[in-house]
Amino acid sequence: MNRILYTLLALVALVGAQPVEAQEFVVVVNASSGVTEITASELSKIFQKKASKLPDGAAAKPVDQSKDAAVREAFSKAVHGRSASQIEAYWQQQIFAGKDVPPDQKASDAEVLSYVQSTPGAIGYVSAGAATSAVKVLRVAG
Amino acid sequence: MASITQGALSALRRMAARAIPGALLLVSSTVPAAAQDRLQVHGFLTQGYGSASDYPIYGITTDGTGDYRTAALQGRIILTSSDHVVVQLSHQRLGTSNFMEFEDDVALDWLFYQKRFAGNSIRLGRVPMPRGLFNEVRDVGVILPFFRASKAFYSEGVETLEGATVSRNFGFSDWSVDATAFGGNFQLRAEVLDQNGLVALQDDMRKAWGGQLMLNTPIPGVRVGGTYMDAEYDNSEGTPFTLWTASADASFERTFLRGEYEVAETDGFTYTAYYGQAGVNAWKGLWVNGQAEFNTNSIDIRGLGTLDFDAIRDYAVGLSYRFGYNLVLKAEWHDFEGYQVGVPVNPMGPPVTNRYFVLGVAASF
Repeated sequence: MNRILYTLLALVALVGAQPVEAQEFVVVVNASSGVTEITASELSKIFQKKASKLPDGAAAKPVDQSKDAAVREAFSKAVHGRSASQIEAYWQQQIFAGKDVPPDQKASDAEVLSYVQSTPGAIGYVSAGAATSAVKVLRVAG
Repeated sequence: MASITQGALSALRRMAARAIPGALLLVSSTVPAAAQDRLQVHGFLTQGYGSASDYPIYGITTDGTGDYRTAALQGRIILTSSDHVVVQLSHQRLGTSNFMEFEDDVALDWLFYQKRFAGNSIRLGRVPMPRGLFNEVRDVGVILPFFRASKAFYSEGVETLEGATVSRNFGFSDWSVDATAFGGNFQLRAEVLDQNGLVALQDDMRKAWGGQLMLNTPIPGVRVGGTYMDAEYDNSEGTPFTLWTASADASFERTFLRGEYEVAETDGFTYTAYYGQAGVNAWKGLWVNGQAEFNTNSIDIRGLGTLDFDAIRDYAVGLSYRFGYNLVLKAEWHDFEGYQVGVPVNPMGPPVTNRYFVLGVAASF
């Protein structure tokens, strides 16, 4: 019985496993932030609203990209280990369980950068080639 | 801000009065953009058509019925980043189900105040009750592989709590725990067999307290957990009632496998339910799903021993086509054996067999 269970779980994990995409995004915070580095696990918790503070203790204001943005798919897989559609399903469950609502969404890198530049505590992500001189780029560890 | 939220609430009330299914289509275009920072409106519709082969079951008739739906409209008023008020109105039709006598055309599902501080979330008022993987979302078709969450496991009632919940996420390296404690009053619904067939009962329960722990493993999508609740009937004896559940869920991008087990006990009666579900993404948005669910009841007949009978044995297969996270079409077929059908059945006799199907559409925004 145990062997059957382990085999089933292994099969499910194998079929469900997704290759991790190469990092095609950079994580940005407001230029006044004292944070220079963040782990993928911390990022995942902030963007799922399971953590409410940045590593320096400031209140976090995460901002997401639109559902169909390529950079969002890359971010979701690298940070959450799940696809953007799975994260959408997670938020459907959170919304209709009355727990929370997803972070604000912006339609483009430019809108994310504008929001992060003007909002203390804001944290977002943009395509690797975006112009980030007005914000601070974080190193993502782990 | 007050005028914005009051205006938005008035709009919400007007839309609910018109009938929530129609409002679902209207609302996204009727909330002014300026109010969206302070008010978030969401809704869902789960609509089905079902037909049974030999006996009515769960409100599904042998002639077929499309009078089978749940719709809800939710407003989240954002007072500050850490202070929210949430209201959800719902409309539910379950065909000819006995439980329809307890359903209003439009019901107040939830109305609560939510406060976040120091990593905690406190909800006060009429709040959704945590119980297993899907209790709070058991009618939200876009989240579920079948028309509804397991009937044997989730049944009716034990859905909302008039009281409080306190939640917190604890992290340990790559592991984390979603913990919730709760207390308050709720309503228990059950169907019992008498000489006229199934009769629906609704009981007020008080002094409920308990909690749920859900452990998220380092494998994204894999979690295990359990719930415990202690309560008593709102009667002169304060008849005790306890419930516990165990859950395991492995949900990946193209497969899922999950199961849940539940035991509820009260004076001389034990309700045991469990189910397993699996699904695979076969092609584009097409999923092939399977489910087996069971309910066994044990009745202590004083002086005569214990009577055990298998009220539900339901095997189901289904197809669902997901156009996106917020629109799903479903078709499912069930093979049932047991006693929980809508006609008189002799509980001492052999179980009846029945087959039924449900075609459904689920949408949300």
